[in-house]
Amino acid sequence: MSDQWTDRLSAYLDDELSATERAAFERHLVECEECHTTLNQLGSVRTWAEGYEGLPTSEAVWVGVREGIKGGSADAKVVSIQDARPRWRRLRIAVPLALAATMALVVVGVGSWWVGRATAPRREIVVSTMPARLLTTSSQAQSLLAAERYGAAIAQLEQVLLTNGGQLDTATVRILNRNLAVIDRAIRQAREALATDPGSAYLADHFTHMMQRKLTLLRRVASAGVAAS
Amino acid sequence: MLLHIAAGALIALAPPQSTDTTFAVNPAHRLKVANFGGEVRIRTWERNEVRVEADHSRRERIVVERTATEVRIRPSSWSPDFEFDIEGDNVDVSMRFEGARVPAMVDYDIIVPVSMPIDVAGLFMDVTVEGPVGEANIRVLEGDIEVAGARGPVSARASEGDITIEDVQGALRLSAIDGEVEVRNASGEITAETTDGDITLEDIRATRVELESVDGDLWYSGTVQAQGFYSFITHDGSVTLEIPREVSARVSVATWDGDLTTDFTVQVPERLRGRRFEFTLGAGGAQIEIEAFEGDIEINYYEREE
Repeated sequence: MSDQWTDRLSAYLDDELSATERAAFERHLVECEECHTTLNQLGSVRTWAEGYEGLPTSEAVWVGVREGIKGGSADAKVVSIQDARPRWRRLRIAVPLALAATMALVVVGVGSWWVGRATAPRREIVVSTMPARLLTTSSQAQSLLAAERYGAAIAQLEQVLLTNGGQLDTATVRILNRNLAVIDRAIRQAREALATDPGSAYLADHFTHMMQRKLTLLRRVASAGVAAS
Repeated sequence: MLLHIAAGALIALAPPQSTDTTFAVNPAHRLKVANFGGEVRIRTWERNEVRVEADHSRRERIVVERTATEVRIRPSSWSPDFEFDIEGDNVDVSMRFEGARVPAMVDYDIIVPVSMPIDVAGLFMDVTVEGPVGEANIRVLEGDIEVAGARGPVSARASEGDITIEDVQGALRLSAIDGEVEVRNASGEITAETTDGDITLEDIRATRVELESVDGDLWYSGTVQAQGFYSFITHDGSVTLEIPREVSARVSVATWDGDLTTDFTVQVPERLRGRRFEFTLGAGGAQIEIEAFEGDIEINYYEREE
């Protein structure tokens, strides 16, 4: 996609075009399938990023454990470390590859969009004494792809913990809950900032980074919890 | 992964309340200490022997297992064995539990040969390592980790607890989920991360430093090597660097809701919000990257003018 409308996609999404430009662009969209497809893909990515919530899933995973700690639910179970008995478990879960493949298609469009944005001086403020880092496919589009994959992995791991969470001792649960709250807050703040300024490479990277942190934490605490059981 | 004991003897010691035994070892072998709760203190001496002193309950025994390359020490009631791995598109969890009674608390005081590599793992315990051990891998769930004088690389991980490292030469990989990390007088490559805790590095001479926190301040004081790489990333915390005034580095800073102040002569833009600001100090040999989403960034001289 390299026509004159390339760098108008982001402005259109951000509702920054004049009425005349907007009308012209929408006429172009009817004729240009490529721009139309890319615009839809960009919209999907933005919707996903704006809608990502880490907390509800975590709450679902741990609500039973919390109830167990409070003694308020007969069904909820918190197994003390001291109750550990000889046994084996094995789980294997496949992360949906179809999701990654879908996102790969999205990235093609996103990449074009970001490249287009990089050439638009009205958005990127260059303040450095040497050339500022330009927005490229590898910076923002891949960040969002990575974020999507982290989101999928996080969901899978939370499912593992939901399945196996009863084996975690209360100390592990307490550490996990407190620190998940810290990271979920950071993810939420990064997401809100990115929604405010979707053209920021830093914010895209930071949002992805916080997603990665959550995944790492889940992995690590799960490992510790398994050891404790 | 199950433990595979290649060869060796099992020494079961069952004194009433304490254990004290010394045995010869190959200092190139690795010492592995497992504990459920209590304390582990490891020191060094100029002998090819390991001395194990342990305080524990009358019911507990200390087990020493020896293989062709390792010496393993653990309470008889505690033998965790697990594997948790995420590789590619799969999540594998394998675990086995041994011991049908409550693991006891054991306080260890262990002396090992100089340069002997050590692994220490446990749940509720403090770990202290003093002296020139070799490679050190330490992991606890709850408890503090202190290492001083290690010669080899150090890997320390505490889910809840502080990590303090000083006077070390090897590479450092440090991780505290909920705790602070402090490093003083270190010269190896350093990677440190926390979720909720400050990271402080003082008197550092490293070619590569990567600090990262979600909810913690980052503080670095030390040299910046030519061609070195230094990365400081936090979400809700500040980043403070004290580096030599003659530093040669390309610097990138980014923040969403913070300010940049510096002793160096840099034309700082009024507003950084959401953008990376890059500048060069000296000839620009090293690379410094700083990101503080909600915190301020300070880059000051290592020795400030009065």
